[in-house]
Amino acid sequence: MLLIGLAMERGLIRHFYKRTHAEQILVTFGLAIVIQEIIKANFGANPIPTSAPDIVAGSANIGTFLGLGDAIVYPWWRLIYLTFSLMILGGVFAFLQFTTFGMVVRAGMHDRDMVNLLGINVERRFTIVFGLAAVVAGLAGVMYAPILPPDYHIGMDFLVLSFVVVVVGGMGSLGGAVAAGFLLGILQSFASMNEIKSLFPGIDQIIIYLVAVVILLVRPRGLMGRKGVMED
Amino acid sequence: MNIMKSEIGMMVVFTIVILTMPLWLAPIGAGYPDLLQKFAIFGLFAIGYNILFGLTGYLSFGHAAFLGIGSYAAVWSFKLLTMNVLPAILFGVVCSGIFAFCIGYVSLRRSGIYFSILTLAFAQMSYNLAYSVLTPITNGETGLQLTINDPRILDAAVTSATGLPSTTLFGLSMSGYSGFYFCAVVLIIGFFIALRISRSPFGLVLKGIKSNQTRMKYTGFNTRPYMITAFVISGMYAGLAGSLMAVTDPLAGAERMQWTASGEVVLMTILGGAGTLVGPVLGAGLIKYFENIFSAFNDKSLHELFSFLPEILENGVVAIIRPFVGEGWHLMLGLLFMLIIIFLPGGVMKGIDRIKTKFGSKSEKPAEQSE
Repeated sequence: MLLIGLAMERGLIRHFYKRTHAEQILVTFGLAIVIQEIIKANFGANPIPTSAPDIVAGSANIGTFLGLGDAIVYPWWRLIYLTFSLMILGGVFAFLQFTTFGMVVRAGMHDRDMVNLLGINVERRFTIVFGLAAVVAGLAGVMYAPILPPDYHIGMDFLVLSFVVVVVGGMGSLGGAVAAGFLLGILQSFASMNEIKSLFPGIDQIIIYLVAVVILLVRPRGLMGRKGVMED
Repeated sequence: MNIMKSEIGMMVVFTIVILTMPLWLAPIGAGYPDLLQKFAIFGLFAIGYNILFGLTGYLSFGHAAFLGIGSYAAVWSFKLLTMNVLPAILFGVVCSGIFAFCIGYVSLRRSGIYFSILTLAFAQMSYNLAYSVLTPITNGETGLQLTINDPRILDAAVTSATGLPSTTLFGLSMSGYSGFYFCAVVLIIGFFIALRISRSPFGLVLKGIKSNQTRMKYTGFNTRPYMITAFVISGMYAGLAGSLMAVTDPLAGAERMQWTASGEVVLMTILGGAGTLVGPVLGAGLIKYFENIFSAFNDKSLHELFSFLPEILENGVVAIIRPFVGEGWHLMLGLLFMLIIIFLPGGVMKGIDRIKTKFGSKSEKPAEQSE
């Protein structure tokens, strides 16, 4: 994934930093179509069922563990997934927040010309960040496979959601993205409960977008968006 | 090339080109009414989208919602009132206009990527609702269809036909070529209105918003009403296209509102050239043409096509081309799309202009640009 991400950035994306956001979105969208079709040509159009490694199959009896009776059971794999994603999250956060590299990237986000003038090769760092982003997304995909059998258009299903989550969280803010992700995810689960569904029929279908609209109207830059990042 | 500059000349050329489409498209295998109808309908959709995106630069990712609303409204008009297409179209346009006003009123408070997300969110909401809760109105997954028992108040007074009626324009059936010519006439009218809009003071204001909204505000323009008007007009075009879809095939489904459908119209506009008048129609035609023609190829037809080559060469060529056609035509579309954005940021129309200037043709200025 790192290599593919790097290649993509080098070959295509870097020529688009100077163009408008609309063009950036569109060209990556075109690329997504191409990659999706290549995958379809190679692996076929059917979902490929993948099971988690045997060693973590089955469920954890959290209820007993916490002394609440055995009402709460949870598949091991999902627990592992949760822990794993928290770890990755911590890693990325630490990387961006506490290393010199991360500092440079954040500075470059604000004013790339200035950082360039300071004699730092921003271009290369952005390439690496793009590669890292691809790695993180790839890891998410690998870990998710046992939960939802992957097929060739799995990416498209998540594309819109993650786009919404990032914008709602606030561009350029990792914390915001995480917060928005949790907020929307939890709200979605709540809205799927039968009690709430009977109160507002169909709410489970639109809750995410409804909340996104409200948040964007109340907070123009998303939950934790900072001034000066991705402003048109 | 002065003919392209005067409005009348342009309209005449456009009208002739559109109306003779069945003739000159026949040699490349596109001369059948179903496809031609699609050209006209999506051309209209793209023209409308271009009024928003091309003139003001606001990238909406939710335009398919208006297309869907137009379709549903038109089918309801068929079901409740009459099989005549005019009320259906009127109904579709008005409904989607109202929706566009509501959505635009909220979404236009933000600009740039936030505007895109807002429109996307609204479109996804309409899609999900149409798919689930609004089933009494939209008939959910099956899609809204005509049935024999529909009331059709106005028709019932006139005729008592049995069987499933078809859509008509005062008795003229709207299938096959008559359907195409109806769509084509609507397309030409729509094109004329778009032409007038983009050359009116109103259109100039919109272009001003695109190039520098802040400056427009300092000049004393309250840009918001202009934006909302543009959004509503553009939504009405989408509704018109949607109701025409229902006219040619009286069926409305929720999938017309999904974000991929919105993405498609963005592709069409960009491919043809955003901000130009003819570009979107061209882009819509190209995409629909590729969709229909390339997806129809299979191994056998490819081998026939290249049978003039020596055996080995033939197999090689077929093996190379095979992934790009048939079920894989999206690959072709994606590649084409990327190439256009990378090398021809202005779309096909820009490319034509460039070729014109390169070969030093006598036209002093590229005619169509930035219209």
